[in-house]
Amino acid sequence: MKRNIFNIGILFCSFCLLVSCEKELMDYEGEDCLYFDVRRGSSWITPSRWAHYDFSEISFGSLIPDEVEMSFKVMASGMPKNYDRAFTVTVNPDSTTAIAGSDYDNFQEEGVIKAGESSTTLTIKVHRTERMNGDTLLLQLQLHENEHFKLKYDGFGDASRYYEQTLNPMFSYNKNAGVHNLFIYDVLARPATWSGNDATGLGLFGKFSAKKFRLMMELTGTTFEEYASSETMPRVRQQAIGQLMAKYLLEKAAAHDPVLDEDGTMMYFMALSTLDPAAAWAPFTTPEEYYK
Amino acid sequence: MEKKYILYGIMTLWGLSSCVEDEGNYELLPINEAVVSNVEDEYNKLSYVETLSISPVIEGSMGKLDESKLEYDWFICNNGVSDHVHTHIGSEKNLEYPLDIAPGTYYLYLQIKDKTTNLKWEKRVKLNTQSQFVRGFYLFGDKSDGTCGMDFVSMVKDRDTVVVKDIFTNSVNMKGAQDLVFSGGSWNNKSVSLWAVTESGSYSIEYSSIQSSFDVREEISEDKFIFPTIEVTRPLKVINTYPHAFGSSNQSLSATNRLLLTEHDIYGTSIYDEPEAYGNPVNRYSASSSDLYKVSPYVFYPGNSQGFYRVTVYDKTNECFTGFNSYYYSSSYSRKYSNDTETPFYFDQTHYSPVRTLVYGENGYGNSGRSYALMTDANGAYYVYGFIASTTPSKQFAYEMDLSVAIDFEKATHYAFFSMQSVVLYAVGSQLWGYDYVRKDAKMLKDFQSEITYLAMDYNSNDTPTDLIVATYNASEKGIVRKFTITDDPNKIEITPHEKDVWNTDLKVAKVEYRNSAF
Repeated sequence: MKRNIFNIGILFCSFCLLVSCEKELMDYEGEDCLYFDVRRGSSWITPSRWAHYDFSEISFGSLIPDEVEMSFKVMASGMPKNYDRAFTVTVNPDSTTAIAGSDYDNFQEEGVIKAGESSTTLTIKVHRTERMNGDTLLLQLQLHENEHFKLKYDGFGDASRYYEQTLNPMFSYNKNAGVHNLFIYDVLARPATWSGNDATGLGLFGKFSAKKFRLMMELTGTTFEEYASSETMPRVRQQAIGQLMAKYLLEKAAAHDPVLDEDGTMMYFMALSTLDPAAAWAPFTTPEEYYK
Repeated sequence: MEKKYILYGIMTLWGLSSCVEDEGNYELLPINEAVVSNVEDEYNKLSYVETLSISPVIEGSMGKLDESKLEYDWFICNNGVSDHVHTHIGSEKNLEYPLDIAPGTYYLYLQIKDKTTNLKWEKRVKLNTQSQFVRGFYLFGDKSDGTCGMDFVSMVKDRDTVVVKDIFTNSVNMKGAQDLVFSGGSWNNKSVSLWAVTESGSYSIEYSSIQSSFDVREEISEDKFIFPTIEVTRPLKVINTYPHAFGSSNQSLSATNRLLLTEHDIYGTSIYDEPEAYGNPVNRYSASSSDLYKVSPYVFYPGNSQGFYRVTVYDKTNECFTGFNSYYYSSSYSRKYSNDTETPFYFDQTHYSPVRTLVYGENGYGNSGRSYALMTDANGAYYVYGFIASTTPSKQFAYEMDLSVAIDFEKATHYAFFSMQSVVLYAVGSQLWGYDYVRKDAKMLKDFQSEITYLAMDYNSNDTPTDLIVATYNASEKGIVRKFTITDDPNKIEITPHEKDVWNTDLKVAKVEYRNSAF
């Protein structure tokens, strides 16, 4: 009997010990903060794993539309609240070179994190303008503190734990998540079907330059999108475009009004020598060398 | 204490009992299994037109089976045609299955279940279905309402030749059939095409033999694959592609090199890893020129060739035969032949007075793939030129026709050159004539009592240069397509009908085009 009492006592003590392990969990007690939660990533990656980006960009050179609507997600840290929380976002005039009403539409400076939610999305409409042609404009969005939110994430550098942003030495310098930079430019990128060698300048189209590419599209009535795939830009079409360009350049050169590329040399296409070997010139030929 | 020992004893026995091996005590008795007979191991059928009929005989391995207790299920397995799926196609003992399935290899499963014992037996059968459109002749022409239609003379191995009627949907309501051009098969399926040429335009047509009917490929239009950067006459209308398919195997002479003839111009390309596309036309005399000459709708190359190399075309603007420096590039251009002499004819027809011009051209099979050019002049005289197309064509002969012998030749609507002899066939109304331009002998070969709507040599389908095809039409008997053999004799002009090769159609046939391609 004594032994049984002893055993029951041991069990009871053990149970008491287990109870003593229970702790009361602490709720979140930090300050609620606002920050730009802009992410980008490959389509095959779940968006929640995309890398955070401290900047956005619009390259009108590779777009057909003249108007782009950009979205920016703004995230609130802390627990959702059962009431709407307003905040203010403004364009920072000190750092912005884009012009409101021209390069971009005025936008709503008041945002709201709705009751029960932790984020909202801001949008801004940007227009292609002459000012972006060959230049890069900056539009800087600035979140502001208020009674609901602080801005304490000023050491941007965290990734989404899975993928990190692709650094751009020109644009990736902002470490403050309360600020987001939108870079806008209209610079043509080299299309997938561009047939030419940048180093030697040889090939059907020769060295790529935005000036040459623009002139090609202007004279042939082709679009940037058509150069994206050999389905729409097969080799024979490239050859025909090269011939038209070469004929134009030869005529201009014969009229002593040579078309110069961005580097100051005479614009080159391989078909120059096909059309008129005697009047053709090699890649990177200067007008002085040609007319000498 | 004793209880403890008893407990130990029981546990030990329990443990020991697990060591006893159960060797069983079975008495195996044979059962009456279903044995299926009257079912072939393999069936060969035509997709879309035939029905598979199977009447299995079910017997028991130990005597008669009570069929009232049996259930039947037929499944078809499409493995090898598309994603693997077993489809239930019947619950009766006998199968009647219309083969409305794409050509390919299938397996059929007959499952027999004894409802009383739940025992199942299975019989597997292989089913090969083939397309009726792999080999035969397209018949392209106008229906009585003027819209274009298409029949197919299906010539499937081990089957009777049948005319499959009205295979063309014609969703664009095209009218006025003029020509139908099949490129022939090739390893490069990017270069396979079927073009319908009509008064209302030209259309790329579906050609895949696995289909049950065909329509226009609306995603293919001239503006989407012809990209000139010099000014050309629009709208663009494809009227022919070269090379044509060759021989009964119907392979294209080139998987890559193509010439595309439009109503006004001719284009060249090489098709490799990209879709068929064309740049600037070749009918100009320098790469930098934008002056395009009018090209006649014929491309000359040796009809017996195993490849597609140098060709000759006719410049209608300058009235001369001409070649190309090359034809694979947008920078290609035409080049007139040098050292032109009258022996036996000039390339440049302006040397003649009056100037001669091309009426009709044809590439023959016999005599080293001789090409023929039928010429005329302002005086109404006709001439036949023979030559072998090459970098510089090898001229063989020129004969003036004796129109007092070749009755009504100037009224002819269709021509065909018999490449083994010096004979040109021509159609005038319902009459088929033959004229020997060397012996100056003519003969009316047959009066069909119906308008001849198509006439051509057929040296492909039977690999013989002596076959010819004639299509006729009248309102009551509609269209009839017949094959003949022309006698290969220098002293005779004679044709013999192929008794079995007579095909009736509702169409006023404008083109009979052979195909033999699994594409």
